[in-house]
Amino acid sequence: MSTLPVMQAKLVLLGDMGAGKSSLVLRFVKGQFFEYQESTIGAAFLTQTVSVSDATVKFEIWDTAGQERYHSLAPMYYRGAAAAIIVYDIQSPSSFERAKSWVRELQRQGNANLVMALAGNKADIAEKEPEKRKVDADEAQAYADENGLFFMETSARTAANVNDLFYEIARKLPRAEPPTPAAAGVTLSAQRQSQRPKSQCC
Amino acid sequence: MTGRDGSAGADGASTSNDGASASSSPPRKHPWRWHPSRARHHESDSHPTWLRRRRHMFIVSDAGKPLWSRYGGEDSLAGFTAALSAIVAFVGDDGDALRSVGWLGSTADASGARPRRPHELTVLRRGPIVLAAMTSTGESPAALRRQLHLLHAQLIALLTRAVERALTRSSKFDARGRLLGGGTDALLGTLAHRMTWDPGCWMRAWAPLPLPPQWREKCVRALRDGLVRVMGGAGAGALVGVLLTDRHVAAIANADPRAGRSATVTASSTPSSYSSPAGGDRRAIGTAGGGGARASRGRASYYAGMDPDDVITLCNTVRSGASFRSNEESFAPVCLPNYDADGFAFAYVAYLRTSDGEVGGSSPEDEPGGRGIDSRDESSNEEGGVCLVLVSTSRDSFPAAAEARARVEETLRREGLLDRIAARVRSRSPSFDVGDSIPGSIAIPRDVPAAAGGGGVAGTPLLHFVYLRPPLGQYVAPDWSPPLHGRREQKRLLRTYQRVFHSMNRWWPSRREWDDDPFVSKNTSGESRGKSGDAAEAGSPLAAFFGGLRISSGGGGGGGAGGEDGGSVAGADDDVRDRRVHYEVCDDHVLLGCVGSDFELYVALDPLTRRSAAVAVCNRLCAWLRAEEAGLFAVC
Ligand SMILES: Nc1nc2c(ncn2[C@@H]2O[C@H](COP(=O)(O)OP(=O)(O)OP(=O)(O)O)[C@@H](O)[C@H]2O)c(=O)[nH]1
Ligand SMILES: [Mg+2]
Repeated sequence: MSTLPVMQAKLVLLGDMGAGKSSLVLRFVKGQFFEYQESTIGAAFLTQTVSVSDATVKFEIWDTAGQERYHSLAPMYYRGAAAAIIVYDIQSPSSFERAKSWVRELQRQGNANLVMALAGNKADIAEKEPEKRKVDADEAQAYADENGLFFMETSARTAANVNDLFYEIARKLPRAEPPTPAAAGVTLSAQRQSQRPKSQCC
Repeated sequence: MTGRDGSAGADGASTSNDGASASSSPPRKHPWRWHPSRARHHESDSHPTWLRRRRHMFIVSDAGKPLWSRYGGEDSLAGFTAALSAIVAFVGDDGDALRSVGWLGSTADASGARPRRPHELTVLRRGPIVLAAMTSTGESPAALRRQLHLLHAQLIALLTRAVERALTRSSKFDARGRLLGGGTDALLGTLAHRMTWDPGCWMRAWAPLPLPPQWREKCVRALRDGLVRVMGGAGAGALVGVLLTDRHVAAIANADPRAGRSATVTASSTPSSYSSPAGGDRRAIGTAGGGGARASRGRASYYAGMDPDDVITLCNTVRSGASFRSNEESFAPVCLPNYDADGFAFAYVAYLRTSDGEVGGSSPEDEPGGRGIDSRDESSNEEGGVCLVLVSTSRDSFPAAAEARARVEETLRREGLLDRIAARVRSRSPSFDVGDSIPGSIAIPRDVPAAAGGGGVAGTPLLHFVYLRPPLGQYVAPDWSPPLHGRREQKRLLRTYQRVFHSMNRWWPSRREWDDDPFVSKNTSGESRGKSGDAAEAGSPLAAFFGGLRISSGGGGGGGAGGEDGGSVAGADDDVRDRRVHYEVCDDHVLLGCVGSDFELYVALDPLTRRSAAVAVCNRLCAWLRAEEAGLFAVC
């Protein structure tokens, strides 16, 4: 039993349809990957807890649907989020453009504390067949630097960088000022203090 | 959109399948279940197999843009859809009018194999949206219009009527982009598929899970408790809670306890075709005595105040969205067209855990970042599970709904109801794997007493039945049992039910909005049969299609159903108009249909059954069904 403070953090995944948001979440939460991953309808809610050096973070994850028709509902999911992962597919320049427009939309919300990560997913494909890569890692890195995002290329398929992505976010989350060790949970999201029994966590 | 290969399988367009060790098979296909590869995205309108498919369905804009097609890639059907909208424009335009035109042409195998029934085109216009069915199944225009109506309801359930406004405003509106991917193909595809297999789709009814009334009552109470006590009731936007299994609805509760009260009392049920309420008016669904257009349209009289079409589309949305099943909790916008076609409501969806930890899909394995690549375990992915849906008009209802779920789940588990429901659904009849088994339904050999016509194959002439209670918007049919365990036999019987259903005249107050076509056409299939061979040879197959087109208007109807498989009964609607009892004998079965003041019963019997015996079985079955109603239907 750890004495680390437990923080709840609402995390939202945004990005184009088929970029691999659900695959990343599924890899992180359940350690699974499906070649045949169904398109998300609306949004799925999942939780996963990770421990970093100074805290235990319980992620409350919203895996949103990339389908255009759900766009207008996105604020419902990112409102009050502590972190956002914006995902694109390294094979698809249009998904990168879409990622940028998500970044702009989130920036307009003016939440200075929001931790934003940019994930160039399906990196495994570029390793095997470099010609399939259509979005340069350097270009994405430069864009991320300019906009204060943190960037990683990931592969839900091989699990490369997937956990690192989430752990890095956990580390970057702003800590509540006085860490209250025994407190039942410091809610960063201000939303949904879950009454449900904690399914895991140590 | 990026490289989604969800529709692959058939066309091998998968981009990510590069790992030799990866098990990458899409879910195994059930012969009778819809599967993404059934959409045949690789087929274009000049593809011979595409032309041969027997039940095409299309959604196009009136500007001629393809929005969805049951088969083939929408993009490769440009020629066809353009011609289709030209025909629709030619036939005329008066709002909601429904029409069907005879459609003759290249319906024989180019290879000259077996001659086919000619395709017919049935069209339903809804504002700027044109829905069309091109079928060679012999289904009547009325039956097809009803199906198109439901397809339209599903489209609205996905996009709300905003799509109509957007299309009207600008023909450039990219409705296709809104429909592309995102599970839409699965939604519309499964519905088109379900229309063949679920009689409720054309009877405007849903299938309740047979449950002892006290169990159902507890379920309903648990749902209502969640909706009212946790989610704040109708005042806070809570609408309905539904507890459903793969093929049945176990319970529905309305947040407003007054809703649907009259369902069991009055015999009236007027279908609505989603006229919108006055702006901003969002009172509880189907509140009895709520006044205004909605109540006067009779919606209040349905069970739980829910229009059956809304139940059908909501359940179809939830069941076909595999993402709902693989995630513990989901929250998605849905539109209930008959409640408010202009706005989204929000559905909280969760598959509940039975006590053996089964969630109907996901394993409770929760360790971060394992390394395996799994293939979806299809059996757990498509089967079993009890799903809870909580619908609210408030987009902020997720936390409350999640809490309500916890409470409902707790109550149901404490009372052992979840396990009982799961067990009920798991108990299969032995015919499973042979055809479309419907686990959870009553089984004639097991559940129907011999006195009511039950018992094994040798013991009773009763093969199958469909019992409809229009005021409840529910129907009961038994699971398939021998000799009806083959897909073909089942399909044939269902089509017979459908034909008889649509041909019977009902005296319970009913105006079926899909059935009021003043403009029915005569099919001239007799003529076409001889010609079809030549037509196939002329030029491109598509040209051949259009080559034989003939449009006519006037009385009649039927549409090819007749002579060919009707046995001793003609298929034309006119012949059986004004009948409350229908009796027909054909090779496979004797079919008896009767329409009562508030029920309809269709019974299939062994083909050798004599008329008097058939009527006797039917009467006894009917009496038994009436007596058992409380356990068969959701009535409490
Ligand atoms: N090779 C490879 N394929 C991937 C990777 N991540 C996802 N995929 C595949 O890409 C497809 C789409 O993945 P999803 O996770 O459903 O994408 P999504 O962003 O959730 O899509 P929506 O829910 O429609 O918004 C699936 O077929 C995955 O198997 C990856 O890292 N490598
Ligand atoms: Mg997804």
